[in-house]
Amino acid sequence: MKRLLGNRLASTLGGAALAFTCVGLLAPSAHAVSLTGTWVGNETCTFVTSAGDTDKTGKMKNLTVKISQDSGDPTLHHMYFVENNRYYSGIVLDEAGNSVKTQKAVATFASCPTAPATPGLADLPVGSEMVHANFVFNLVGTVLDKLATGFSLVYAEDGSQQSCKWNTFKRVDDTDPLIPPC
Amino acid sequence: MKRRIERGLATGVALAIVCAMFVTRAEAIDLSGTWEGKRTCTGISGGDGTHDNFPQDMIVVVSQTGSALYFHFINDATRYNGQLVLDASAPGKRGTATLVECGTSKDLPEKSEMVQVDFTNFTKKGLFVGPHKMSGDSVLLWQHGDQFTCKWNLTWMRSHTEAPQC
Repeated sequence: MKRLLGNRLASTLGGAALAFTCVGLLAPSAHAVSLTGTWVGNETCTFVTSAGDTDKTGKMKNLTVKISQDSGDPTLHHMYFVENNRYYSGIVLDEAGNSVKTQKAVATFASCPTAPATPGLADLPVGSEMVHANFVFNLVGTVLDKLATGFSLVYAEDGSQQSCKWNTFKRVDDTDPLIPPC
Repeated sequence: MKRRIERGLATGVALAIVCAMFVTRAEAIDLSGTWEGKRTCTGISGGDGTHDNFPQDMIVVVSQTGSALYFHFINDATRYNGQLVLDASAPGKRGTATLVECGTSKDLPEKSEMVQVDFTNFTKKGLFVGPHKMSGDSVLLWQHGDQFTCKWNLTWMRSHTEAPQC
């Protein structure tokens, strides 16, 4: 009887362990690096105005973006681009193969107004933008985390169509700026 | 004699109208039709975080209504709506368009995508001499959380019409 109970207990515990293992393997990883803080960097844009004139802005320096990690979903982030006065939501994805010294991640952001035009109408919401950015986080030492490269497409508030490269934004402050969701 | 003059005038007017129609058609850009080409995407796989690059064949039905533009990317069953602007210095030859995939929003659902393309209409002295070309970039959030940037390259292949929809 004692052996029977022991076998049942072992079987139950084994099943539970297997279940936990399966849940752990199958459940999506909740871990995501945090982009929270204030980032300062440069951007270069090529744009076509609403009148069809093409221009390049050259490098715009010392631009500021503020980012907060969502309290409920660690992959979700809320961003505010100060100079453009534009809010975004974004999803962060950890890259595989990170070392003990650095960790890499990518993120895709969409500005809050982003949406398609009405079919048959040229009414794309102004301020529409999507951003793809690559981040490098330094896990040791004092080197600042950086947004190494980024790329964005914009239909701006003035009706211009822009293509921008984001260059080496660095996290100068990791205090949560408390950026609200869209 | 009077009849000859009248006939000559009528012929001249008719010729002028026909010529005007051809010139107008040659100078206006209409991107509508079926386009074919390829896009090459580079990014990170959402499943395991590894780098992922891939080329993809594209068949895209394009409908232009004034400056409104509609793409139906047949291979991926995705649709986009946006608008174009003609180049101020060469409105009959070049322009730029920005489109957003129909499901795209601030909530970033799968298949969210924004595209910006430059297009060229090969003309010589106002006459159409070659196929339209379109190339540009997109930011793409694909299925399973894959995150990419893509380069698009398309060539106008044949006439086709499709009503814009989302």
